[in-house]
Amino acid sequence: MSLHKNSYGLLSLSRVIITLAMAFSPLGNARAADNDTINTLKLVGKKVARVVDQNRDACVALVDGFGSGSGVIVSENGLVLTAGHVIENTNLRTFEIVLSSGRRVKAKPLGYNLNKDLGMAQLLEPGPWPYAKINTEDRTKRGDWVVSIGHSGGWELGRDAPVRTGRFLKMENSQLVTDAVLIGGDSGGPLFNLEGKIIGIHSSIGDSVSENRHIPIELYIADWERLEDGQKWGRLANLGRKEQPRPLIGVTVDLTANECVVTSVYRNSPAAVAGIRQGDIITQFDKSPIRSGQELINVIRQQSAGISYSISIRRGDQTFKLEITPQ
Amino acid sequence: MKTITTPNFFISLGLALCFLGGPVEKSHGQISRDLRNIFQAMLDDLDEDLRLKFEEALEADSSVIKMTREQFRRFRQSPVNPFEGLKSAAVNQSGTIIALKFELPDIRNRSIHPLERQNSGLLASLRPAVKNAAKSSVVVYSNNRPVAMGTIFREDGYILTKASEIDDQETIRCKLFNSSEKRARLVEVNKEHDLAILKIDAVGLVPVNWANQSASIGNFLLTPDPFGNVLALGTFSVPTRSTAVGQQAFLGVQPETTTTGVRVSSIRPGTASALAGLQDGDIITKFNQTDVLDASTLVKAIKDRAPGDKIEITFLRGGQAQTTTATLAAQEYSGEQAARFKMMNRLGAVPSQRYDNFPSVFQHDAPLFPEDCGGPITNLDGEVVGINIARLGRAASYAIPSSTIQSVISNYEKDSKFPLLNIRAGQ
Repeated sequence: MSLHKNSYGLLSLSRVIITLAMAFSPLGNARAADNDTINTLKLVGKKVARVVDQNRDACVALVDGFGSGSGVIVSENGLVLTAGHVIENTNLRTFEIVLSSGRRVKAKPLGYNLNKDLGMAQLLEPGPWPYAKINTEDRTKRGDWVVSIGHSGGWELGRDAPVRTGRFLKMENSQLVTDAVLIGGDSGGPLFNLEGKIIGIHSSIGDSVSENRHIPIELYIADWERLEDGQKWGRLANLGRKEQPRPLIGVTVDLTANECVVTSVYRNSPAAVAGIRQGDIITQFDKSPIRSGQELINVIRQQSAGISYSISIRRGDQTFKLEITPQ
Repeated sequence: MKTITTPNFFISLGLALCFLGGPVEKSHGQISRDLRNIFQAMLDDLDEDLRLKFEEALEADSSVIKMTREQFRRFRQSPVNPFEGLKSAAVNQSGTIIALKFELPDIRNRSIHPLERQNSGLLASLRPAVKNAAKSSVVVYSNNRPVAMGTIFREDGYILTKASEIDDQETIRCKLFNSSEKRARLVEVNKEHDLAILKIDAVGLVPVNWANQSASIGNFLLTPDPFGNVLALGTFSVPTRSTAVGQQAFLGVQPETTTTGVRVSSIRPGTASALAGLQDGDIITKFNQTDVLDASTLVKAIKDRAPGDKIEITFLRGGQAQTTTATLAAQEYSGEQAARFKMMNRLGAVPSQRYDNFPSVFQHDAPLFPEDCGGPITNLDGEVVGINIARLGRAASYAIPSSTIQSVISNYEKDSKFPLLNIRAGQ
């Protein structure tokens, strides 16, 4: 009945293929592979413990006397990232941040962008504060293990923020979807990669335990100055719903050609701003080679609006790269 | 502040109502066990009118509930409503009555993404780790239905399981690793830990191999069944603590350190602080005649008390020192926020009938079902680190650590609840 379930229906097919592949592999090899899996998981577990050790003190709860969310300190002077909807209605007078030690510190909300559910706050006592580092390296790949920390169910005296793990499943509507399970109160908490760097901030859930949505950290970086400056804008959509617009660059392409030929460019679109023209052939987007119009559509669907990517163009005899920011 | 946003569940139903115009569905589907649990869990938080509707449905064992448009509107807006989609909705000819057929989102048979932690390939490759622990695990049947797992802790047929899932009026059976079934006798119930001890007529069983070291943050944990399958993979989330109701004492203030003491604010009517006569802006200087220097001292002093404890508070108001006595309350969430949280807890999960008030449990995130509790949970070396005791809901499960279980067992042995192992017939 719902759109969620349709997308799941498609996935179940590939699950069957994987299961069969396992069944056909010779028993001896399967045993060796099993030991590998167990050893790999032991290693992942050790890394998870290290991620938590390194970052526990940077993970905080945001309380205003009426509700509770989570957040993460990202600078020595006490800048805190959280979800936009956590601080949207914060009452400045009573807004406090609870540290992992239980200590409460006054804080003020800075900016938010509700279109993407981004939020920023500032601790009001002088630092230095313990802080977590932001991932600026390669983007997370599907299947990568992730670590979630957040104050599920609200801040609880005598309980550390629960640690949960999962894997990065897919991008959907410019958000990371994982099976690191979230629930009320986790909003605004950090999602780490196994190197202990923040790759996302908890935002919303769906009705299955594998539908947990996190805002990619790149979106914070893109709006950083505005948020720090205290600007407040945007409107909360029903995050995670299909009708939310997909990232667009504003071109039409020939779906019948053996390469990705641009047949038109919309005025004032990201493509127009980037300098793409009718007749250009797109050969690469970010790190993905593009060999047809459909490939471009598939690749852009996986990206995040508001982030700059490089795009490779062939125009006549020339080949060159442009910067483009999908909307 | 709001908690995590959830999608609007009823968009799809809205459409269904537009397209359906037929007569009200006549057949009344029987209520499944999970649906019954969900209806019951909602009762407390529905308004009286709607509560009556759901009570009637439970009574009649019907998954179809008829509502007026007005009732339907209220149900749609109620924060406790966990239903994403309904099996069907129909209106009568005059359009005044809406019949809703309820069905759970497909939790037990959901399609699992190939990259998920719970994908069958990954779980299958973990089987070697639980080869031995599986032999110490049983499936417990009550009234011919699997209701829990069990943990064999002595080779002479003593088994631990989750007490609240067992109906002692019904025949209890245990299915072992070799698929043999044994009739079980209920020996002992420990209400505090929600553990039951069962006895089956058997010798030479494989008792559980308790881990020497307790599990810790980040460890992956496996829940096996007796047949060597891994039911779920989880991560150790929160170290062992008590979740006893009312354990956490609560004064109901937002504390803030000042140079003269701890200024309090956000005092709401009905809380322990308000009943003691405290007001926003009061500065607490003493707690049971001991100086309170900062907010964390106050928080810790309260944490060390139990709900119901009376404490003497000295505070400054307008520069004047005053003294009052406060009775600490148990912290609880209430109202719409609590109801919304309860609803979220049921998204993708079926909570155990008893999921709170445990004196000693660690938390993990394996997606168990209520009937998966009572059996062993192991580390990746197959050593048993605890017994699963409850599914809380979407994001958490609880297990009693092995050390606690072992002391429970040794207390029973001291009380001669069962014969000591080294005393055998003929010796």
